[in-house]
This record gives sequence, C-alpha cells and structure tokens, in this order.
Amino acid sequence: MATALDTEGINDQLRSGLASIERFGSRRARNLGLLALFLVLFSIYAVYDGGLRLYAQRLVDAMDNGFVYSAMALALVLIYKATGVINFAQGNMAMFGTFIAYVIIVEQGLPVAIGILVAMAISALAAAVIERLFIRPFDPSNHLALTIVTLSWFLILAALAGVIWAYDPKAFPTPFPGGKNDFFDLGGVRIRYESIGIWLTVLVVVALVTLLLKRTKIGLAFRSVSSNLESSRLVGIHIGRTLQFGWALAAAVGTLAGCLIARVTYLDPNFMGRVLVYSFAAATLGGLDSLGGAVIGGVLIGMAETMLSGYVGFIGSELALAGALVVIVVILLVKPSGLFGSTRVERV
Amino acid sequence: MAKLTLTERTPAHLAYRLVGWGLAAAALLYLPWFAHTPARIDQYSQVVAYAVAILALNLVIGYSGQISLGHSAFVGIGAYTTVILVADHHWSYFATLPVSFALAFVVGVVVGLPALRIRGLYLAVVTLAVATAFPTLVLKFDSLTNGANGKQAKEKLVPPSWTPFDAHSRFGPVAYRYFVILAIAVVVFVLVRNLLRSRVGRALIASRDNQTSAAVAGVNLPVYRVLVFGMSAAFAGVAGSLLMIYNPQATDGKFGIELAIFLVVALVIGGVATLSGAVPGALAYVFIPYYATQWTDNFGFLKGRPGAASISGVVYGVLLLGFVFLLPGGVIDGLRRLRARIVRVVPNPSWLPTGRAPAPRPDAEDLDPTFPQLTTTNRGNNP
Repeated sequence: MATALDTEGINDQLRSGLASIERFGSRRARNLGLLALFLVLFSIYAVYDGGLRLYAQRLVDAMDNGFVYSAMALALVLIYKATGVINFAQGNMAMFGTFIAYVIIVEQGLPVAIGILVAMAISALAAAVIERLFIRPFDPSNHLALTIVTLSWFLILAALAGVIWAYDPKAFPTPFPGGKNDFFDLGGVRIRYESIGIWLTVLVVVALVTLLLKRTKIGLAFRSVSSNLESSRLVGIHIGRTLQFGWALAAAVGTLAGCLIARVTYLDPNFMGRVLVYSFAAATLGGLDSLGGAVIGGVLIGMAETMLSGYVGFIGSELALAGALVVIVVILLVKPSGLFGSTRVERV
Repeated sequence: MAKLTLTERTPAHLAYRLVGWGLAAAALLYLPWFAHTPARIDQYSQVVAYAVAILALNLVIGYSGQISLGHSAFVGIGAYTTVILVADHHWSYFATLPVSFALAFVVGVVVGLPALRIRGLYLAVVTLAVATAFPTLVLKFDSLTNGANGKQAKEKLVPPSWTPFDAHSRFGPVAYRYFVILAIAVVVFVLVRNLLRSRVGRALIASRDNQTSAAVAGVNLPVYRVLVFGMSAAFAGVAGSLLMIYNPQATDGKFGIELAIFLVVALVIGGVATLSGAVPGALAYVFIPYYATQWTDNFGFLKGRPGAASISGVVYGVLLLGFVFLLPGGVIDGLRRLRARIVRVVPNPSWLPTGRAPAPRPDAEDLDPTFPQLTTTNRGNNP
C-alpha cells in the first residue's frame, strides 16, 4: 500500500512533537511561565522608561485597586461556581451595602469598622432573601432566566439608591489611618497605612472564605454542589440552602469591597459600575471558577489598569479601561478558560 | 378551547392572515394621524428605530443563544457614522446607511471573533467591556466625535417636493421621517425573517439548542457564530442611523452600558426568539421612562427628591422580574396564548403523505414557554 497516506508515520511524528512540547512542565506551569515572562519584560521596559522609584510607586498604588477588584471578583466567582450564572447585580448589591454602611457610620455616628460589619451582615441577609424569593423558584439550569433576574436586580437597586440617596458624590470614611501623613517611606516609595489595611483585609477575607469552604460542613456542601449538582442532591445536600449560603457570602464580601474602595471613588449610585467591569475582567482572567484565580486576576487587572495608563502614553487615563479589556480579550483568545479555570468536557 | 378552527392554506386561513397583516400595516401607516403633537410622532420614530436594535440583539440572544451586553456600542457606531458623515462631509442620510451597516458589521466580526473561543458568559463579559469602553473611546477621539459636547448635524432630513409632506408645516417633516424610518425598518425585519427561515437560520437555531449535535450535523459553528454576531451588529448599526434620522444628535451618554442593558430588558419584555417581540419591547423602552417621570409628580413621597426620575429604573426592574416569573415568553407569547383561545390553526391534511392522519399541532397554550437555553453553561464538571 505505497500509495496510501502514511497515517501511522504522521501520527508518530505528531506524537513525538507533542511529547517534546509537553516535556516542559505542566500546561499550567507553562502558562504561568509565559505570563511571568511578559510581566518581567514589561517591568524592564517600565524601569527603563521612568526609573525604578516611579515603577515601584505605581506598583504599590496599583495594589489598592487590585485587591478591591480581587474581593469583588471573589464574590462573582462564589456565585458563578455555585450557580453557573454571572451575577450582574453584584456591583449594585455592593453599592447598596456601602450606602447602608454610610447611613450607619455617617448619619448614625457609629464607629467605621462596626458600621462596615453591620452593613455586611445586612447585605448577606438581604442576598439570602433575594436568593430564596427570586432565584430558587427557577430551574438551576435555566441560565438565561437567572441572568435576567440578576439584571433586573441590577436595575432595581441602582434606581432605588438613586431615589433614596440621589446622585451627588458622598465622602466615605476609612477604618484605617488615612490622613495625609499616615504613610511610611520604603526606599523612596510611599506606602500608606490605608493601603496596607486594604491589602491585609482582603487577604484575611480570602483566607477566611477558603477556611470556610475547606473546613466547615456548609463549605463542603458548597464545594460539592459547585462540582456536581445532581450527585450532591442524591447524597442529600439541600441545594437551595447551600446556594443561599453562597449568595450571602458573596454579598458580604462585595459590600466589604465597596466600603474599601468608596473612599477613593466617592459614594454615588453608579460608583461600582467601573469596579464591576474590572472585577468581571479579573474573574474572567482568573478563570471564573477558581477562587485563587479571582484574587490573582484582580491584582493583575489593577496593575494592568495603572501600568497601561501610566506607561503607554496613547492610552492615558481615559482609555485605561479599554486597554485593560483588550488585554483580557487577548488572554482569552489564547486561553479561553482563563489562567486557572478548569477546562470542561461537554457531552451531548 | 378555540372558538374558530382554520385549516392551513385554505381560503379562510388566507383571509385570516391577510386581515391580520392588513390591520397591522394600517395601524403603522395611520399612527402619525393619531398624534396630537410632533413630539409624539418623534416618539413613534424612536420606537421603530429601537425595535430594529432589539431585533438585532434578538439575533444573538434569541436565535444563537449567546448573551451580548454590548449592542449599545454598535448602535452608537451606526449613529456616529451617520451624524459625522452628514455633518462634516455633507452626505445624504440614505447614503450613510450602507456605511453604518458595513462599519458595524466589521466591528461586530472583530468583537465576535473571540466568540469563536469565548462562549456563553465569557462573551457576555467581553461585550459588556465593549459597551463600557465605547463612551470612553468617543471621548478620546474628540476631534472626530466632538467629545463630551456631542455631535450634531444641522440639516435634518426634510421631505423632497414630490412627496405629499409639507416641508414647512409642523407635522410634515416629522411624519416624513417616521415613514422613512418605518420603511427601512420593514426592510430590515423582512431581511432578518428571511435569514432566519433560510439554511442559516436553521443552522443557527440548531447550534443554539445543542451545539455539539449541530456541529456533528455539519454546521460550521465558528463561521455561523461570527457571521451572525456581525450581522446582528450591522443591523444594530442601522438602528443607530435610524435614530439619527429622527434626531441627528449623538452624545457619548446615549450609547453607554445603560442602553445595552435596557435593550436586553426590552427584548425579554417583548419576547425572546420572536421577531415581533421587538415592537412591544421598544414601546416599553420608549414610553415607560416618559410616563414614569409623569407619575413621579403624583406621588408625594417622591416629590422634590433629586433622584426621583430614576424611579423608571425600578419600574423596569420590577416589570422584568414580573415577566421572567409570570410570562417568560414576553408580551408576544401572551398575545399568542390569547389568540390560541379564539383561533386554532391546524395543518392541511392534503399536504401530508397519503393515508396518514395529521397530528394536531399543539396549541400555544400547551407549550411550555421556556427560554432558549444558553448553550455553553454546563454546570461544573457535570457531563
């Protein structure tokens, strides 16, 4: 059979070629390696362009927004993992929660930290109620209907906040020392105590959420539901209550993120819109179903935002959003499931 | 039980259909004569233009099962194309339509290309990003778009002398613009209807309902997906041009994320995956804010509040929740159910192979009006 194609030979060649690519570590390690290489190259360019001190200062500044995006992305991922739906209302739920904190702190005069904690608790309760009344009646696989429900809450909360609190920006206090001189100098780089407070808070929240998911019974149920709904139902997990837990947790984390960033952006009914888009980008970058990916994605997006507007003159501050999003689209083109997302096998 | 049973393709059925279409056409043609002010006719024009945008969005959401939150950007591209060409290059409004179509198509394909690999909710996120980025791009390129001041064309579309419209009366030009927009919209609706009834439409619906089996059946998924996204963007661009025909003023705020979300809302209110659903959707989009601001004056607790105008957002949201819960098929589905109580259309047995009794077509009331499922959001690692 000399005329037939030598398929066996071609297959062998392909296989050996693939094997030689596969030899360089796991796929995930290779992806992260490429990412790290890109970051290092950019850093070298940035240091060459504007000096080390400016670069370090921008890096520190980028972390503030980055960690807030991480927290919001974490909230999005919590709901996405459990329900397979992106909660478009997450930003406005956080906005509403932040307004509640504003009422408690500024109008009632309670301490800032207590105000934020109470607002988080109220948000969690409200989200649990929303889940029970508006999400649970739907078939969990009817994603379009569920997405529409989250869109309608997006509209309702935005408009309601506008009616109640109007659209003039309000100053929001910080629970950390936030005065003009509350910073320390590290090799010429200003690090504000408030920034450290934000970073630590988000890291503690991430640790707590991870512990909650890994070490508690409801956390186990949550992980079970997010990995396989049908089997979880068969082993007797109450699906609705578990998803409710996810919604409440996500709402509390979102409100915290809103309270952390409201001091910089000022508080008005639209203030979470931009943050939400960046957090979507962060969650997408991290892979939508990976909690760790959301956190790393948030920091990366925060950096992309600051660095692109700082170093690429054409982009400036107006196009920072568009620039960051182009980065996401490119990354998704190369790796559709995000950096840490699990790839799925779909069957008919 | 239906009062009236009609057999398909009999004279009675034909007459029933002709009367239905005739009534609809007459209503659309006589609409301007019911208006007491030119502003009301402008609102009708707006309804028609937004109906085209909602129809375009329906191609993506209803017929290909993907969520796009970025159609405001395509509407904006069409609008800015028209207004820039008319104001700066003195084109006629009609000549700008193909340009809007082509430009929005190209941008749609470029945005849709990621949809080759990014599916389902990833596409929603990417298109949301496009919607958020569009106003910032408008502000950035202010030499072209006139930035935050908005771009406007001085000369509006006026009726030529051979038309029966008086160019100098209050109603003449406004009514002429309404009919121009209506005519173009009808062309777009017919085009989309034919597209959906053709091979392309069947391939699209097959891939929406189950993309793996559609691919197995020979549907080239990436090509269809990108082309349809491009077509949808192109029709949205035409809708933008139509908006400029009625009022040639484009600002960055008109085409932001709010428009994108309200288009989705209007689509759900009208009816996902129905062509005619675009009309009630557009009616809701144009008239709810108009009446909601009037209602706010009647409520004591809202009076004097600076943000009271945003109460229409609450109305939208609650309405949307109501539709998803009570009438997930939208207004059109509700109308079809009502109609099914009066008229029942059965297939003509002479069209079937001989010797087999026709199975009665299920009435709309027997069908469960569920949403078309998103194709790509399998939960977790479930098979």
